[in-house]
Amino acid sequence: MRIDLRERLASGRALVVDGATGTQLQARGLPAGACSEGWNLDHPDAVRAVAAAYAAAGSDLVYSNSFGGNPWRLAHHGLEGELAALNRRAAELAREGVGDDVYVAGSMGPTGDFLAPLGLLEPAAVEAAYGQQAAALVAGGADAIVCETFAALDELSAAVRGARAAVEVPIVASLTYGRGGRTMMGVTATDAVLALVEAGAEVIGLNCGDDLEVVPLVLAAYRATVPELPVLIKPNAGMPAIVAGTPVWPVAPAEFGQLAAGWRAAGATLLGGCCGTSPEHLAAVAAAVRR
Amino acid sequence: MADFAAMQEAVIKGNLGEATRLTQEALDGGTAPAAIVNEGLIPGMLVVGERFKNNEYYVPEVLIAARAMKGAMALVQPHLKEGDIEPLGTVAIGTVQGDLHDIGKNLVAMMLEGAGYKIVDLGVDVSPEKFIDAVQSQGVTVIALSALLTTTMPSIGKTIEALNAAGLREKVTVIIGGAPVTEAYRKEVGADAYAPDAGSAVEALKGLAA
Repeated sequence: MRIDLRERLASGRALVVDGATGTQLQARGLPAGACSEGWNLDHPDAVRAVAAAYAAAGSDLVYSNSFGGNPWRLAHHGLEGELAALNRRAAELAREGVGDDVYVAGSMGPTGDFLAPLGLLEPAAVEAAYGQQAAALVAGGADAIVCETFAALDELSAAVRGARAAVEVPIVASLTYGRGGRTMMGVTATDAVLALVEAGAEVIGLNCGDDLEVVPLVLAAYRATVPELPVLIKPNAGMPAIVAGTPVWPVAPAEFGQLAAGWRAAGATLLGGCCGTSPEHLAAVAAAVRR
Repeated sequence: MADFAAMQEAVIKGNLGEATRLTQEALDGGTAPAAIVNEGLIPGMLVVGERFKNNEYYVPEVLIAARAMKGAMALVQPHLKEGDIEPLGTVAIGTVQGDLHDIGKNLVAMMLEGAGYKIVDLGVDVSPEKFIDAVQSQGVTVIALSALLTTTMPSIGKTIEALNAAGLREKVTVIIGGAPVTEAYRKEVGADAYAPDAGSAVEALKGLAA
């Protein structure tokens, strides 16, 4: 049986997270471009199996299949009315897949749009929507909320504040960095961590992104700015090449494990993979960081 | 004499109020509408693209610059006469079938429009048939295809194949882009140009025309 997640984070012991979800579902038949959250209702066995595969590979914490479970993304598939049911079911399926020894984090991704004044989304509405999503995930059994793959600080702060107001569990805030070590919106790691601690995040993270070179830079900036805050590192397996129409990621499991050992040595507590990483990659991470 | 340098600067800084004020002043002072566009607004937007390419500007700066440009253009438009400004081409742009991520596509559309292309925005999740229809019915000279995901990127190839099958491939220039897209992939699918970012899209198209 798992101990309280805050206690586990405070211990400083490495926590192995999971790898990619979407590609694993596609390997089980999800068509490209289809709504993966819809599979929580239509294909629960596949969703459960992905979580189970990561737990078997050695993940201590597995994400729910709910990345696009906000009203704006669900509306693209006509599923916005199913928000509570889809998210609750996402957390339940992850829990059923991993059992009681592994933590489940409820995944929340971006809206795909901009907040006012840059865009049309009202911050208060965004905050409220993420609060609803977080509440449904926790109702389904999530031990934490992970806001991931964000590029805009106003949007991510709204997600964290919304979740903070709605649920008691720890909240992870994770951004995607690109060229120049900033997010697409120009956000630096230093500015991000300061604002997100203020919003209520208890873990700061980096996930996705093609450029593994920026990982140590972002990690160092996080550690230097708020040294006591646990850091999540969950990048892609490099920049994919297309071979005969199929993406092939350059970083193989063994090499990814070695990189993870380096991030661990540099102060990261939570380690996992994003696009292009599989249960094999995560097994290598688990072996490398528990050594 | 209109202050084109200040007009450019207003676009570069994304200062909508200043861009529209200077544009209105120039119009009131009798400056040719085409000159306002060609010597004030477009050069400003090209600088924005350059800065984006060089990581000096990020998405927010591009959005507010495009907003300033659009606001100024709205003032100029009613004064333009047929033939005052010939668009560099007509671009049908969209994210490919299965892909719903449109931030990158929108940035490219803003940059191309800012450079003097006419834009036909087909939106997201655009089928090959819709692109073909745009070529047949809207005088499109350029097809711009965007994909964010490795899983939807093959739709770029399928769209190009459909253009071939419809006998339209030779009629249009095809430019592609998006996070997983590379020059190697451009060669594989037989597109004419690849742009690694929105700022480079303008150069890539102009490079082909030259």
